[in-house]
Amino acid sequence: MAIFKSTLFSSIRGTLGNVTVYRLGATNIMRSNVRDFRDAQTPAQLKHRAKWRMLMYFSSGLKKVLEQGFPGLSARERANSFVSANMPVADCTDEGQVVFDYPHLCLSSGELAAPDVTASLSGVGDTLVFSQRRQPLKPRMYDDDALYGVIWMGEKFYGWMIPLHLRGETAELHFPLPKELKGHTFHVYAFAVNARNTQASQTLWVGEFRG
Amino acid sequence: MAIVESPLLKGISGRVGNHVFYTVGDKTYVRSLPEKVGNPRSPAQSLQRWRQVCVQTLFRSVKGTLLLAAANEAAAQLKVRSGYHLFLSRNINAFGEGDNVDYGRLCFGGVRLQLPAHFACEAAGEGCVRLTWEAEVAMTTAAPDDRLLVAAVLPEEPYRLVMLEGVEAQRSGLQADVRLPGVRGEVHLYCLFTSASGEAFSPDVHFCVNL
Repeated sequence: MAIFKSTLFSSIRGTLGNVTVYRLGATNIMRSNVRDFRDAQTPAQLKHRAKWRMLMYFSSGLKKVLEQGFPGLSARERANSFVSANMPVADCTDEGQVVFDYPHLCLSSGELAAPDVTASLSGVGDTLVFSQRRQPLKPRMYDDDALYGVIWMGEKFYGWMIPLHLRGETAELHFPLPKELKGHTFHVYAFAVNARNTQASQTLWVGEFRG
Repeated sequence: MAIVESPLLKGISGRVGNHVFYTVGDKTYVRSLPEKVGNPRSPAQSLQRWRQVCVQTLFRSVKGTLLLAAANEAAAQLKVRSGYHLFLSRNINAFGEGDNVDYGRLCFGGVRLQLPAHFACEAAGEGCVRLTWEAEVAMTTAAPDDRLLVAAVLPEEPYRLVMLEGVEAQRSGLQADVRLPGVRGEVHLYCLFTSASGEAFSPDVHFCVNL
C-alpha cells in the first residue's frame, strides 16, 4: 500500500490493471489488487460472519434511528459504527443462531448523558406511555437536548422512532402501538441528541414489553 | 500564521487549499492547515477540556439575562472580543475535576459602577437572607437609583445561575431582603448593581449561605 500526494491526481480513484487507487478522508491511497484470497471457514469465522450479517439487517431496519443516534456521520459510517458498537452485544451459538443482549444494544453513541425516561403499557395494552423527568443543567446534559424513544422489534428487524420532549421538561407522551406489534415482544430504548444535532448520548434501555 | 493587510482580502474567511483565512476583531489572519493533529489526552489537557465544557454549561444559563449584558459591558471596557469570551476567561479556572466548583472564583459583574462599602449578608429567618451595605456619596459610578441584581446557584442545580425576581432595592435603600422559599442547603448569591438605564454594571460580590 502506498500513500501519494499529487496535485494532478488528487481526486483519482478506481482500478487500473493490478492497481487500485482510492481516497480515505483526505489521503490518496494506492494498493495492488488481491490476487488470491483464503476463505477461512473456521467456526469462529462463520460465527463472526453470522453476527455481522444480522447486525447489518438491524442497521437497515434502524436507518432513521441511526441518523439521529450517530450524528455527523455518512450513511456508511453510521452503519459501520453501529456494527462495531454492537458486535460485543451479539453472540452466536454453535448452531449458528445469533442472540442479542438487548438491554445493551447501542442505538446511539456520544458524550451526552443518557436521558431519564421510563415507559409503561397503558391499561388496555394498546398504548405505550413514555414518561420523562426533567434533568438539571449539567455538563453534557442540556435543557434543549431533544429526546427520542425507540421501539425495536428484533424478530422482524423493524423499529419505530418517537420524538419525545426536550430534556429540560417533565412530560408524558402516549404512543398508540402499531398493529404489527400485536402479540410480539419488543424492546424500548431512549437517547438524547443536542440542539445542533452534532452529539448524541449513550442508549438507555427502557424495558421489554409485549404488545 | 500571517496577518493579511491587503484591502482586497480584508474580512475573508474560509479555506483555500491548505490555508485557512479567518478574522478576529478587525484583523484578518491566514494560517496553514496542520500536517498532523496531535491529541495528547494528558491529565492536564483532559482537565482543561472538561473545564471548557463546564464553563460553557454555566454560560447557557447566563444567556438572555442581565448578567450577559454585564459581561458585554465589561468586555467593551476591557477591550475583550465579546462578553462570551470574557465570561469564559474569567470563570474557566473555577472548575475542577468532576462536579468540583469553586463558587467563590466565579465572576459575573461589570466594571463601570462601583460596589458599596461593607456589603454584607446575614440570615433573616426561614428561607430569607438580608443584604446590607453602607451609604456613600452620590457620584456617576454610584447613583442612588442604581438597582440591585441578585443571582443564585441553588443546591439542586450546581451549573445554573438563576436571576432572582422580586428583589426590589436601590442603592439608596441600604438593605434588601432576598426570599428563597423551599430552598434547603448551600446557596451561592452573586450581588451587583446596575444603573437605572440598565447600561452600566458594578462588579459582583459573592456570598455563600446555608439555608
